[in-house]
Amino acid sequence: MKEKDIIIKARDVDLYYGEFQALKKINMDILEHEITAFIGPSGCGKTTLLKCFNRMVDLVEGCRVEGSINIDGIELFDAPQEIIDINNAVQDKSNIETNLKRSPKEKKQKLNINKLRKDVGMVFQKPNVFPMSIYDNIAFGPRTHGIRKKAFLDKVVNESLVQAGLWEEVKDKLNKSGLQLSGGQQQRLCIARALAVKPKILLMDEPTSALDPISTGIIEELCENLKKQYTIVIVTHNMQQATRISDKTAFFLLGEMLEFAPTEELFSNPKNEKCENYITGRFG
Amino acid sequence: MKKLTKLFLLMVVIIVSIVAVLGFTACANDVIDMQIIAVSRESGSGTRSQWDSSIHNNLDGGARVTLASWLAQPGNSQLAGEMQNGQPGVVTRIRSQRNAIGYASLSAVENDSNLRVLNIGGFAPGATGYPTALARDYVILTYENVDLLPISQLFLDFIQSTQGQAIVEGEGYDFSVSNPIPFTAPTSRPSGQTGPVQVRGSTSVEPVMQELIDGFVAAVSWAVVGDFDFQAGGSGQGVTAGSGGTIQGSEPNRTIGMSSNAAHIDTANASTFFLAQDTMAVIVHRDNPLTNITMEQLFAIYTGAATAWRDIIEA
Amino acid sequence: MQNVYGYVYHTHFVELFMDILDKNQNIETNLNARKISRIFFLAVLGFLPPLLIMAYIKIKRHKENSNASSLLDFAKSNDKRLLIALWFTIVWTCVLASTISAFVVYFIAGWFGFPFILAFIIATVLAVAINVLTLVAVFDKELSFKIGFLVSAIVAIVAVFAIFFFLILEGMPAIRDVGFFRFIFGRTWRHDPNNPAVWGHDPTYGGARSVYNILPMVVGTIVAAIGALVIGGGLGVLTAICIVWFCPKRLKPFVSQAITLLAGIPSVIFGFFGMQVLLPLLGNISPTGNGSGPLAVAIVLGMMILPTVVAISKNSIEAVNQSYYEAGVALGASKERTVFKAVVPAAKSGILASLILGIGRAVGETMAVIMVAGNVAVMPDGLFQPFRTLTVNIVFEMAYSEPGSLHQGALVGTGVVLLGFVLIINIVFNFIKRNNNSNKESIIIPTIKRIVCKPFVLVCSKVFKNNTTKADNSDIIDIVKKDFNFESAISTSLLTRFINVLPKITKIISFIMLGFSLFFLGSIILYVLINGLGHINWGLLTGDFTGFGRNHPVTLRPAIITTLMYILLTSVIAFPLGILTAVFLQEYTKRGSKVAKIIELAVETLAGTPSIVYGLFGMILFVTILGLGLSITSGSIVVALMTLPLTVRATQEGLKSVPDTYREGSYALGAGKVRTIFRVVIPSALPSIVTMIILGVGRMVAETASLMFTMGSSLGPDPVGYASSGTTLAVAFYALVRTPGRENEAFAAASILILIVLVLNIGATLIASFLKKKTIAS
Repeated sequence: MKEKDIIIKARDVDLYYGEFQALKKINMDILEHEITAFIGPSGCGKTTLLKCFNRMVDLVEGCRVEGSINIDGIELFDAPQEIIDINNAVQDKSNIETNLKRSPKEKKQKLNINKLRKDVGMVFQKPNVFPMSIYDNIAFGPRTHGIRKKAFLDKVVNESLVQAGLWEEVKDKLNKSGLQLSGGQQQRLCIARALAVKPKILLMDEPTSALDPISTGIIEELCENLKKQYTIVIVTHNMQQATRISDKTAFFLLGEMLEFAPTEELFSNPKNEKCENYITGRFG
Repeated sequence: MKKLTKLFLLMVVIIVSIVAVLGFTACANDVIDMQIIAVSRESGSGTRSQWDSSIHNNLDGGARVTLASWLAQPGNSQLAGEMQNGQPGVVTRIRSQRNAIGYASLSAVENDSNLRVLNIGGFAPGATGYPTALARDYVILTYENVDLLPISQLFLDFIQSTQGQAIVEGEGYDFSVSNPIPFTAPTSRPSGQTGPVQVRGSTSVEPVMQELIDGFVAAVSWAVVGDFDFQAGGSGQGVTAGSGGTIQGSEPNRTIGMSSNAAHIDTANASTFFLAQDTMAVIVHRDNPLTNITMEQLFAIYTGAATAWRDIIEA
Repeated sequence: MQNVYGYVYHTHFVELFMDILDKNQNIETNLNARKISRIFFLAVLGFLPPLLIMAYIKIKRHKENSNASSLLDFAKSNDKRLLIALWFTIVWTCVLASTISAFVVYFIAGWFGFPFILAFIIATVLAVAINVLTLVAVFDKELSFKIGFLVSAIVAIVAVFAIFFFLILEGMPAIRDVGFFRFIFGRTWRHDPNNPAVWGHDPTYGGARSVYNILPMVVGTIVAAIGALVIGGGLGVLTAICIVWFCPKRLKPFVSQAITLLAGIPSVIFGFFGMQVLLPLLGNISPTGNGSGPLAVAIVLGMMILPTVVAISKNSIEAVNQSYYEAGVALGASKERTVFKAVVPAAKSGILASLILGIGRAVGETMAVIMVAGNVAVMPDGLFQPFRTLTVNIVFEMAYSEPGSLHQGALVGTGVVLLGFVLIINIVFNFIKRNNNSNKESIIIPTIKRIVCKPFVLVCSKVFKNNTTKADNSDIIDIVKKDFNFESAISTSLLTRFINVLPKITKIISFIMLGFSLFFLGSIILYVLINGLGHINWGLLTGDFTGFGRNHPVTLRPAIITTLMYILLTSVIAFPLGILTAVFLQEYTKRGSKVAKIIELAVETLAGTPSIVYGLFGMILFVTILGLGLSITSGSIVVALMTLPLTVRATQEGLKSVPDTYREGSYALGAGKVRTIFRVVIPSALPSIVTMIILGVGRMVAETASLMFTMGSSLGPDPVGYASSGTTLAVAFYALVRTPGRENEAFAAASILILIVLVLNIGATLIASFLKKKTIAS
């Protein structure tokens, strides 16, 4: 089996909301083409860490991050940052390609936030389908990043819906409003939307917590298929879900990552005492 | 965008707007280069109907057309220019619009430093050659066959007395009541008045009526301003000085109406008492160099035939 | 206090007291009132026995911890004497209530100026109502309250019917006489007072001097509405987006408050500003030299509807779920793109609602339009041509119209058409709202998009030729067939770059719009304050009214007193009615029940009716027919009806926001519905109610057009009572500002008005946040 590359490197990550420290000295390596699960009780920082990976924590006022997160060779939180955004990047196509291939050793990379978010996609807890047609929902991402030709967009929409397992159900009603779909379908639509920009990593924040068991099953099956092409990091409250689909699991408590191990190992033979207590249900 | 940039942008917009506004103001022309704005009154107004019947094209015989008959011709439904609400509306408009022309009661405008009263055909208002059609009788109305309550009756007597007429003349009106008699007020308040004296009616008569009320209060020791309930500008409740000239009031026995169009009072409904004669004056803004205008020019302006001040001023 | 008897300085009531106390026989007051006043005192004394008996029975019941649901059951179950005593009490109370209500109404009638017959009718109705309610209350307290709420809710329906009824009664005959189609589609409106049209005249109008057709005004109203929509709506929506998303956080509350301030400024101030400042400016750029016309009206109306559009759009945009924004940003879109493409479309229905409300207000506006429109009854023909709207048509000639004439009928008919306009707008609005809510793909907007945008895009793509290598079809097919390389498909054409930058440009434009909004606001407020603040002095505010003529100093004291009296009466009518109606709608009807729908339809119709229609209605019904004359009473009743929709809606929102768990908790403790409403629900909704009251008072203060025709438009001495005519501050401003030599005082009055509005607005915000904190914290 081919040796998997480390795609996300977190080193000594501390995160502060104002005075409150939400993440304490997080160190982890996430391998590509794997499903990594973050588990832990409410408020322990798993979603916060997830949101660091695509810099969605920027939306929170007063948020300060120290330490280093490196995604596929690009430093996320290195200071000073030159944050360019999408309009400048479009001018120079070659720049985009070289950015992707740059090795981790090169320092002072220019971080393009919009580009980062294109490469690191996110699916939220509650489906947040835009009030537009299904086609427009999925095409939103590609259009943002400069794809205009209908033929291309059609292809992207098709591929994304197929990958999300939704194509058969909606192929006849691409022009209908996305809000018409059921909860499970909407969440798959959100997944398709995230896939449409061809990310490398897919971050999922409790994606099935608002869904019924059947939709949950469909999405879990999806993740199994998707991991061949993408890397998935999933935050979940449902430990059974973690055991079902993830390759590796990380246990968080009060901002610290207490254990990070292959899933079977963590659940059958946890090394950390608090982790064991959580898994066996002594607190939660 | 950084915060400073945003604030800066807002500031810039506001400053640019101010500059644009000032710029617009500054690029004002001389009146002579501007177009004419003819200001008229609303069509139910007594002043308006008198104006329409008085201004004509100065031709003789059958060819003479007044504004009123011009309006009646098919295809002409409106005068040129714009209409304002009430005499104060016209006056206020012309005071702020340099290229406007309009008409109002002489007494209301002759002391206004922002306006200039024009001579017509070389004659000043009040002089013998001034168009007599522009003279207007103001009348007081009371309900026919109704006994006025004591204080209302006293007020009516006062208006027609020598003291009252002195006030009317002091206001600049001519030809007041003939043979006025002196007024003597009773020494104590008479009984029987169930409410204030209601005075209702035309905005044109408003100024002189106000002075008369003040005069009454001054002349009668026991009278106070609270004895009067005064509303001008009409409201359906009061005198309609237009056609029919009926008088309404919630309590007819204490209502006194005022009208600027004596010719059109329905005498079956109301008793009328002559109050004063006033003149209608043509007014322009003080920046307008014009001092004299002819009847033909007025007709041309109000029918839209003449639109540039240059044509009038240099004629 | 001068010792003057008679009507002048004393109200009837004070006289009566003096009569009773002094036994002064010189007063020539209403003999009946004197007698009734003595009965009044007896009646008050007479209340004691039943009160004592009721108290006794209640205490007994409490002591015995009886389970009886009403006093009657308790008395029945007890001994016979108690039952007799109870019945005696009931009868006695009914008689007393009737007497007192009769006295109160006669007394009030004298005070408010109602004619005798009207007062008698009201007294009878009131007495019957009280008796019925008392009887019902004895048997079943809940039912009696329910009836009480229902009755107040019916007032709204009655009001709407009354307005419709009178307008149609007065207007339809005239429309029929002129001919329905000729009336609406004929192009000539001309009234010659010397030759008015008479009933049944020759319909061919050959040589008729007076013709009453309203098409120019219909078109004028449409033009004014569109103009207001473009300027006010466009400005407003972009300003709202800017405030919510792009404005620096520290600036936000200041800007919001500033724009709300605009909403409270009376329309006459806008109009005067338009006439004095805007028209000369526009005249400089106008080809005819006259600035009056659709452009001036659009600017003034746009400024007036701006706060409405901004406030409601702002609420909608703020209410959009944050996750839409997060989702868009997480896909790599910039903030501007996400806001304009994902967030704002989600607020579509609210924005549309704000625009429609804005149009409604623009259509109904009168005083501001009359000063800048030019008011000639011709078809609007350009940006700078004097024209007339339906509202102006009514106001212009209402004062001169003879009751019963075809002329007045035609004016009322104009009002009917205006009302029809508003109804159509409301129906369209409801239709669109229903469409949006059902999540069906609405047909209208995509169709518009397709028709409008596609040609534009086509043209653009032809103009900005795509200069990448993927230009021809064969390459595209290859790409599509092969594994699709995302990056290489990214287009770098000029068009793409333009489209990418578009959200940023729109953001800059929205900032510019915000700047314009603030500029408009600032210019009006500064114009008034600069001209007026310096002239406010103690004498102006409290001086005696010494005379009508120009030699006497201006005093605003009568206007201030009139305003206070008017606000008092209007509040007493509008707020309780509104609150009770809202309680009925919210607590006593099920969602979608027929009764609720009818009442809500009535309230919405009242809300959309233009103020001048209220003025017309008030003038015909209260001033003329009912004989109240120009009086504070007439004005108050009319404005109370106008404020009713606001109070009902705002209270309803407040009641809706009280979570059902509160109610359930109260019921679970055994409290009845009425107790729950008064002890739990209304106190929780108090912040909304208080805010509603403050905003309602602001609306009352700013109202002008309808008051001029029901209360009076000339300045005079202090009002003696509610039957006196008078001018409120806003109307006083209008009267003063048109009198040469009194502009300073006029501006002083306007400055006072603006200060009042400012205080009310800030007060509303503070009280709302204070009370919210209290309820949440507790």
